[in-house]
This record gives sequence, structure tokens and C-alpha cells, in this order.
Amino acid sequence: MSTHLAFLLIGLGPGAVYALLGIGLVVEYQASGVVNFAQGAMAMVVAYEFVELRTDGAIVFPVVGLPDRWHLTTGSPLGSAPAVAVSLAYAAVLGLLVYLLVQRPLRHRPPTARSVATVGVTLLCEGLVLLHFGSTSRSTGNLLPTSRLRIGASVVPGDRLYLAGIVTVVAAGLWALFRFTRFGIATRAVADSEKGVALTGYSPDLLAGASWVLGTVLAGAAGILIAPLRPLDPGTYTLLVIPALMCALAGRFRSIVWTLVAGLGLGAISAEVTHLQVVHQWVPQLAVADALPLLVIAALLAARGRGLPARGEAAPIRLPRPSRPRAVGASAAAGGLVGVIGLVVLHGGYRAALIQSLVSAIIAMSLIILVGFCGQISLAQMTLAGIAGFAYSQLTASAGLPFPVAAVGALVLTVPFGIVLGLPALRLRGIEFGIVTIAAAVAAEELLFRWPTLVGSLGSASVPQASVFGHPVGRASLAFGIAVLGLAVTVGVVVARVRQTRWGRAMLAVRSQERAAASLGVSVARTKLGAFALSSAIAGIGGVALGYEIGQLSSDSFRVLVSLGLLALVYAGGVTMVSGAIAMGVLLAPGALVPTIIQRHVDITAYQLLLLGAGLIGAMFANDTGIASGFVSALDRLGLRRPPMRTRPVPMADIHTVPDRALEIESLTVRFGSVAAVNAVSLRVPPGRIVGLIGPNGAGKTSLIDAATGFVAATEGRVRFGGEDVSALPPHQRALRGLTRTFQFDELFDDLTVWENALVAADGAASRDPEGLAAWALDVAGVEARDVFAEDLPPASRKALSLARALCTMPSVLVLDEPSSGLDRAGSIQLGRQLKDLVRRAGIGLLVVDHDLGLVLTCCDEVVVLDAGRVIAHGSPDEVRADPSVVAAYLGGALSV
Amino acid sequence: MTIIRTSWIAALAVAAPMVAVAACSSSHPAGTSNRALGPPILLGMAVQENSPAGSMAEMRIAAQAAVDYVNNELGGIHGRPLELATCATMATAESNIACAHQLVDRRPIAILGGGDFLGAAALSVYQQAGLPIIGGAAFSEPELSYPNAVRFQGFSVAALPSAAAYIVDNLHAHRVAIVYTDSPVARADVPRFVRHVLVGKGLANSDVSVASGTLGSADWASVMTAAAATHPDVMFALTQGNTCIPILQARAQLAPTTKLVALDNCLDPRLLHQEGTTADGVVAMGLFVSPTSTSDPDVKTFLSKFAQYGGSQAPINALSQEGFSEVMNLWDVLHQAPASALTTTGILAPFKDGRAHHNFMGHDYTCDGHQVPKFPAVCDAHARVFTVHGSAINDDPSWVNGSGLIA
Repeated sequence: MSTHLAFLLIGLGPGAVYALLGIGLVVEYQASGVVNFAQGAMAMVVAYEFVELRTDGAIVFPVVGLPDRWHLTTGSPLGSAPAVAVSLAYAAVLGLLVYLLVQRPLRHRPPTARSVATVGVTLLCEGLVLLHFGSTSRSTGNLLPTSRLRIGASVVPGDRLYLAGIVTVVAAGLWALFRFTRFGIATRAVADSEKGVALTGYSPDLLAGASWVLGTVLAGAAGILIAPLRPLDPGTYTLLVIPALMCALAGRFRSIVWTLVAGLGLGAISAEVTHLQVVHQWVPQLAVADALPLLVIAALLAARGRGLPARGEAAPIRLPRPSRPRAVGASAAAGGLVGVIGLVVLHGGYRAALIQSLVSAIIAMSLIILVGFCGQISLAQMTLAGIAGFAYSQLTASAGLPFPVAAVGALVLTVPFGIVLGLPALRLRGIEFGIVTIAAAVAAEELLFRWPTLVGSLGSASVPQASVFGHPVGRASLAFGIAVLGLAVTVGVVVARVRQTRWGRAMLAVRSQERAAASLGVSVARTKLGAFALSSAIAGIGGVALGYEIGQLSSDSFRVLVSLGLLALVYAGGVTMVSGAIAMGVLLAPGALVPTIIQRHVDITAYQLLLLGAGLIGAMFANDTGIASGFVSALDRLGLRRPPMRTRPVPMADIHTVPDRALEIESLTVRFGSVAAVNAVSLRVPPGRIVGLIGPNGAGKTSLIDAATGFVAATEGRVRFGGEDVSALPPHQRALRGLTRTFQFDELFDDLTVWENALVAADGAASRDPEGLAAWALDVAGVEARDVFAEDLPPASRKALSLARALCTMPSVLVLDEPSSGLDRAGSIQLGRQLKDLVRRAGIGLLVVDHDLGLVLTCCDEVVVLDAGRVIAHGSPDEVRADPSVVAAYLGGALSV
Repeated sequence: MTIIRTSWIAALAVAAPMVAVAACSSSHPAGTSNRALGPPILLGMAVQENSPAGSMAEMRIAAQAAVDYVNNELGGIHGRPLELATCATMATAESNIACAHQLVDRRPIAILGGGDFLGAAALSVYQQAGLPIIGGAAFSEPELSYPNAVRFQGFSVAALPSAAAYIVDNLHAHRVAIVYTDSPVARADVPRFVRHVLVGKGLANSDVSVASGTLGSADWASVMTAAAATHPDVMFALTQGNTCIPILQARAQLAPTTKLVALDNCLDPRLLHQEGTTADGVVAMGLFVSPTSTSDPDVKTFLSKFAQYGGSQAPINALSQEGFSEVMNLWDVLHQAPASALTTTGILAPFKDGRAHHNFMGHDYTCDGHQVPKFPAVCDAHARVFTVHGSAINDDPSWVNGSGLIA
């Protein structure tokens, strides 16, 4: 027992450092909404500076053009305490510079773009360290007392315990700072409402800058504290960001305490697993010490997540608006022709570089589907490519399968991994899910890529050269190039076509508003997992091509940081369009054509990382929608590109009536903890009737309709629809049966056009003419614009589109949540007429929740009044108007309309 | 099989060619003008540089220094100067392939082996171009078994089994803890080249424990504590360069009395001279005579010419020895071979003549494809033993070879 305790205590040291880095991430995120992937790299820069001070007392200016070093001493080492102080000041300046030069200019860009910019900062830090310090690892003596604590037969180095103690004290201080000081409270408030904080007299800009300074100082302190425990080198220090991200995620990027607990736990478990590996043969000898704790955190987070985001939960991750492919066939033909000419004209290394560009573009296209269309941030895409590459190697080299069979086999093996990777996305979303994929990638690195059955027993897997009709296909040959080009063009066409299909629209809807998508009959789970399956298949194709091209595969090509770099580069190229993947492949990818051409003429070896980092940040500055987007815009301006296709006039479908089904809510209770938001409520919405649901704020109206439509689980009671008990069905299944809803805040798919918004809903309806149905619904709701993006609509039109979109599902019962909000009196009267007409013409039943009593009492056939979760009145508008309990409890006085 | 220790007989067997080389070398004392003026002989060389994963730039610098030495003072090869076309890789498959293509496009007659942790990725390009590889640092099995190559050192197939044999035969260990930096290559090497040899030497499987960390491990104390918990007589550390430091530090703190055997990358002066690092008592296995053995004529030449042509910045370590040595070996064989050997197809033949050749700063090599079973490119599998006392490195003049016991 004492031995186990000893290892747990040893692990507290590194765990404390993970926690400190994680807390820094939390601080930065709270004030700016940015996940700083450069946290490890910035810690590294500060640690190098500390070691340099301890070695020869010099401050290094990692900026080209400034004097290289400024000596504080005459070449003698600086003492530990002043070196720490100077280094932390250095960290503060570094944090301020990163904020002022990178984050502040990008503050109006989406957080994703700003996070991508931090990948650029990582590359800059690595490049500057290489330039000024070289790649030889450095070390420093112990900072903390090195007394040894003997526990049983084991020795625990005392400095690990001191380290854990120091970090715990720092975390407690920070917790108090953010809990009790005006600065801390304002900083936390920025995460919720930047405008609100500005109104209270604080500058969100200043708070964000201060937070970046504080976050970087914490990173620097972590870098200094861990320097005596591990080598200081540019290759592995940046990896410290991975456990730090997991810790911050465990604290939901808000809680300092949970981040600390996660860090200490991570370190302790990791140390104990290392111990168990050595003393017990049954513990896998794979490097589970790193992967297992990350997987545990990921699993806990997934268990804590929700199938659909709750009402008011964080907004969806903002990504560039998806492009609408035009002339896919012609573009593919033109691209293919240019590719063939390139492959024929270029020789040797240049042709190989072009092939490399095409392979990179294929892998990048897997991210177009997953991130660009479906909004699922994956940092494990190269892992999937690696699985396919290794599988292909084994199937050809070991199993002796011929090329096409082995390639298909590799894809068949890869896709299930892709789907498994996507499972956490059913409960987590946005950057949370992205960070969980890091855990998956690390696990794959440590478990799969060290598994001899997959990667071979020799540490690298060979991919034999294929033959076609007895002719060997060289790895940089024209034949292989043409084959890869064919694959790239095919994948590109598939990706572009998917964008135009109902599945593509469903993906974009899920990306934009999961709740709204589900309410319209879109299966969020199936859409996401389908995207993961297709994406992993595409990544697998790229992995097989990469494997063939390289010939000798090593897991180093598929590490998690490679995946992170890939995502950043694809984002810079244009993550929502096929041309973005191609731009990334040709311009930015390692070994790509343009970098190769430059490298052949100018020796940029020493500056490669610097240039790439600066380029990545520059791309975010210039255009956060990607290089390809800028290129396409330029073509548009020059009139060299066909204008966007206008939505053709579609004859309205002949809508008669909807199926005759009633919504019956029976003794429904919804509890949140000990609070009963809805208490034994029963009501019925028959077809062809309008039922109003009113009540003061907090009465339980929205909770009731959330439960009725499947967005909240009922604690007790049942929901029947058309006589069927639908209580256990998810929202999209209820919608497919004809029970649909709108939302108080519309929850439109802002990145889709009006027409596409309607089509997403019509796609799922039991109609053979979805376009006609969409045209009918838009007409009924009075929406005239078709090609306008929903985001650009005025409020009244947004409400109308929300209604039209719901009508596209051909609902038997439609639940309208605050349909008149934002409308003036005339608009409200017009809406009432519309609703009555709708019920009369289509036979739809309506449940209307609204604060506009005029609307409810004039257009509804019956009205239900809720107060404190209970029904206090139910009857005709006149009966409700006259009910004294309503007047007393709800209206507080005379009821007048 | 047992370790083949250098005996008087073996010494006599290798003495003749060494004397011949020494005579050749000494026939052109430093500074004498014997410049090669013919058309250059182009060799390609790709070396990992400016990469976060580490730099081996000193290998290129040393190779270039040796080339300058050969061209300026040794008359080149048949009067023709050597020319190096170099390319910097970044420990990625893509950069290795790009560099390989860049070098192939320059049309060299051969590739002078460089070094990159992912250098195996370039093999397919060289194979396609039919280019042979001469020398170089090989980090993976495909590089060591590439048929169109000669490797003057055996790297893992030399150092690891030799160290394992030395641990049992010379240090008389009964329990051994292997501590290693986990990587696909290391995972393959540990059972074949270390555990198998230890067990072959009589240790029980249960007497050999294994503990590993990764390059990214935040703290090696848990790994070293776990290894120490098995109460070994000897810890054997197989590390990639950067992880030497924390292992040495953790051992000093947690198990200072346990004997530590390591590889010579842990003796890199740039690591040893850093604050908080101590290697006192460490036994290390290397592939070259130590640069501290300044009485060795090859070492003397290396130190002198590397200082003269390589500049003062490049470090003196195993990598710079490798770079310098391979050029000297190339010159040694080819300047005695007929000029017709200076072609892509003919250049390996003089090396693969089955005879023992002098290995500059190393043990004599014989490229007959049978020095180590399954690794035809390896021409020699001997390793050298160094012992650290304080900060001084003692070079045991004998060589050990444990490759006969590998799986």
C-alpha cells in the first residue's frame, strides 16, 4: 500500500505543472474565449529564458533584428530568485505581445480563427527557440529542496511535494482573485457577456489583455518549475499543452479548482500506472501511462455531456460561412486538367511535391466534411490516416493482398475507428469535443501505433510497391501521380456534391443549431456519425496514398500535433470549401509544391517554422475564411466566375391537410433537482385547434414544451401523439411523426440561405416534393427572399422563416414558442390571421406560447394558464379572461386586451 | 556465443590495414598542398537540422570538414574533389522524401548517409533512383537492412546487444532493469537486442524488468522509481538524447548507488556540462573511439581537421565523429579502388569485397552482408565501452560484440 502511495505522491509534481498550465488556459479563455494551443510553447520560451539566465545571466530577445542577448551579469549565472523574477516579467511581456500583436487585432474574428492563430504562435515560439537556443536540450538544477521522503521501501523526491504545494497555494489565490475581486468577477463576466461588462465601465479589451498576461505568467511559472524534472527542448515542451488542455476541459474552462484537481489526479494516476506496468505483467506494456488518464477524463466528460445542448447552453462554435459550390463538374474537369499538365510537365522532386500536395489535399478534404460542414472539431484526423496507412501496409506486406483489395480493406478497418471517434460528439460539442479528440489521438498513438499487429514488429511498416499488369508503379511516377490526382478529383467532387444533398444540408444545420435541426426531424446523431464515417474514409484514402508514397510508415507522421497543424493549415486554406483543401495542399502543407519550389531556390531551412507560423497568423489577419475564399472573391470581382445560382422558382406543392394526430400531455412533471418546473400538467392539442399557453415568467411554459417535444426528459407523466406514447422518443423522431416546434430565439441556420433553411426541414418530411413543400411553406409564412442568408434577415422575417421552416415538416401539431416576439402590433395581428388561416387550410393543431396576450386571447380556441408549474386555469379565452385566479395570480389586476 | 573481445590475435588481424591507412594519412601532413582539381564527384547527404525533434547538423558540418580535408590535403579521389549536395530534413517523412528527391535531382553518384529519425522514409526514393548509401546514422531496421547500402557502424544492433553482454559478463549483474524512451523502434529493439541477450547470458526472464517513459514524459522520477523498485544490480538506459538528462538526474536523486549503463549519446558534452546533471559512475556504450583518446591517430586527425575546416561552433560528439568518419572511410576505400568504381552501380563493390577495412575511429569493418544476421547493410557490430569518473570519460581500448546473441 505504501508503495502505491509513494507513486501517487511522485505524480503530484508533474500533475501540479499540468494544473498550472491548465489554469493559465482557463484564465485566458474566460476573458477572450480563445483556447491557447501555444500554452506549452510559451512555457518553453520562458523556461529557456530562465535557463539562459541561470547559465550566463543573459536575457535573450527572440525577435529578429534586436540584439541577440543582453547580459545582466558579466557572464556569470544569475541566482535562482532573480532569475525567476526576471523570467516571469519576461513571460508577462510575452503574453502582452501575443495579445497586442495577434489576439487583439483578431478580436472580431471567430474564436476558432483566434485559436488557429495560437497554433501559429506555437510555430513562432518553436522557430525562435531553435534560432536562438538550438535544439540541444537544456537542463537546470533543482529549484526546490531535494529532501527525500521514504515511504515504505520507496523514495519520494521532496521537491515534487513542494511543487504540488506551491501550485495549490497559487490556485487558491487565483480562485480567490476571481471569486472576490472586482477584476476577477468582471473577467468571469466577460465570458458571458462582453457588452454587459463594457456597460459596467470595464474595458473587455483591457481585461482580455490582463488575462493573457496572467495566463502567460502562469505558463512561464509552470515551464520554470518543471524544468528541473524533464529536458527542456523545443520538440517535447510544447506537448505539455495536451494534459493541460484536458485539465482545463475537466474544469469546463471555468473552474480553477476542478482544473487543479484534474491536474493532480492526472499526474498521480500516470505515475501509478507506470509503477503497475513494471511490477505486474498483466498491465499492458504499451505506453498507457500517458494515454489512460486522458481517456479517463474524456470518458467522464462524455458521461457528463448531453445528447442535445440545453436551452441557453453555449452558442455553437463559429466557423466561416460555408461556400455554395458552383459548376462542380466543370471545376473538377478544369482542376483535373491542370493537375495532369502539372504531373506531365514536372519531373523528379517537383512532381513528387505535387503528388504530396494532392495527398495532403485529400486528407484535408476529410476536414472539410467534418469541420467545415458538420462543425465537429477533430484533432485526430491524421490518426485516422495513420490507421489506414498501417492497415494497408499490413494487408499488402503481411497478408499479401493485391493493391485494390488491400486499399479497400484498409478503409473498411478505418471507418469504424472514425465512427468510434465520433461517439463522444453525441454528448460533447465545440472545442470540448475537439480536446477530447486529442485524448483519442494520444491513446491511438500510445496504444494502436505501438501495437505490432498494426504497425509491424520493427517500429516501422513498409508498403510494397504495387504493379499494374506486371508494370511496377513508382512512388513518384506519372502513373501514381495520375492515380492520386484521380482520387483527389473524385473526393473533391464527392465533397462538393455532399454539400448540395439533403445530408449536406443536415450537416450544416447540425453545425449551426443542433436543437433546431433535431426539432425539424434531423437525426443529429446519425448526421454526425455519418460525417465521421465519410470523413474517416476520406482520411483513410489519404492515409493509404501517403503510405504508398512514403513506402516506410512510422507513427511519427501521425502524431496529435501533426493533426493540430493539419487543422490549422486547412483552416487557413479555407475549411468550408474544397478549394480550401487544395490551397492548403499546394501552398501550406509540409513537402507541398510551392514550399518545395521556394526551398529549392532560397535556403529557408532555418526559418521554416517562423515563416509557417507567421503565415498562419497572417492568413487569419487577412481573411479568416481562408486563402481560397480570398481567391474565389477575387475571381468574382473580376467576373471570372459564374455568379451564384439563383434559386429557381419552384411550383408550390399541393398541400391539402396533414395527418390527423393530436398531442396529449398527461400529468407531466419536469424537475430540475428539487425544483418542479412543471407539476402534473395535462393538456390536449387536437388537430385544427389553436391552444394558447400563457403564464408569468418562470411559470414553466418553456419547460413544458421542451418536455413535450423531447428536449427535456419528463420526470413523470406521458406524452402521447396520435395515440402513440412518444415520451421516450428523441426530438427528431417526434418531429418525423408530425410534432414540431419553433424556438423563442428562432435558432435559424444562420449560415444557410432562406431557401436552404426551408429545405433542411422539407427534406425530412414525408413528401415526394420537398422543394415544392419548401416553396409552399415560405409562401404561407410570407417569406419572399430566397437567396439571402438567414443571418442577414430582419427580425420579423426571421420569425416568419422560423414558422416556414417548421411548416416544412408538415406537422400535425406545431408548437410555437413566442412567435410574436419582436413584432409590432400590426405584425402581431397579421400573425394571428396567418395562424388561423393555417389551421383552417391545413388542419394543423397549434400550441402557442406567447407573452402577447392580445395574440393569444384573440386567435386561440382555448387557453391554458400556468403558474409555478401548475395549471391554474383552462378554458376559452373568455373564460380565462374572466377567471379570478388568473387575474389575481397571473395578471395581478384587470385583464384587458 | 560469447562476446568477442579484442585479443592479441584480433589486434594483429586488424593491425595491417590500420598501419596502411595510418601511413597513407601521414603521407600528406596537414597543410601540405595536394588539392584535387578534377571534375567533382557529387555525393548527396540529408541531415536532420533545425527541427524541434533535434538537430544533427554537426554530422553535416563534420562530413563537409572531412570533404574539405580530402580535397585540399589528400588529393581527392583519383584527383577528383568530392562535392557534397546537402539537404536539411526536419524529422518528418515529408521532409525526408522532399530532400531525397532534391538530392536525386542533383544526380549524385551515391548518397553519403546522413541522419534523421525518420530517414527510412527516404529509402524508397533512393531505391527508385538506384542510388547506393554509404555510411550514415541508421535509426531503424529498414535502414540497417537496406541492401544497397554499407553501414560502417551497427548502431542499435551493435550497441544494445554489446551493452547487454557487457552487463552480464563484466558487471556480473543478476537483476537488470531496462529503462527506455518509448518509441516504435525502441519497442522493437528492447526485446530483441537487450532482453534476449540478457536471457541468453543466463538471466531469468523475471530478473529483467522493463520501465519506459516517453519523449514527452513530464517527469522521469516515477519511471526510475519503478525501475529501482525491482532492486536491480544494473539499470540499462536506452534513451533518445534529450531524455538522458532527466534519467541521470533522477538516478542521482533516487538510486545513486545503482550502476547505470547508457548509450554514448548520454555522454554528449553539451548535456553533461549542464547544471544539475551528473554522470559520475555511468558506463556508456559507443561506436567510436572516444574523442578524449587524443593519442589515437584517427582521433588526432579528426580533432585537428575538424577544428581547421569545421569551425569552432560545431560540437565534438558521436554525430560529428560519424560524419567525419564516413567520408574518411569512403576516401580510404575509393582512392585505392580503380577509377571505374566511381559510378552509381560500381561504387559499393570495393566496400563489399569481403575484406576487413580500416574504420576511421571505429572498429574494422567487413561488408560481406553477414556481420549481423538479417541486417545485410551492417558491416560491423562492435561497440566501445566508456566509463565516467567525475566529469572525465575513460575509454576502455577494447571492443565488445554481442550481436551473435540477438534474436
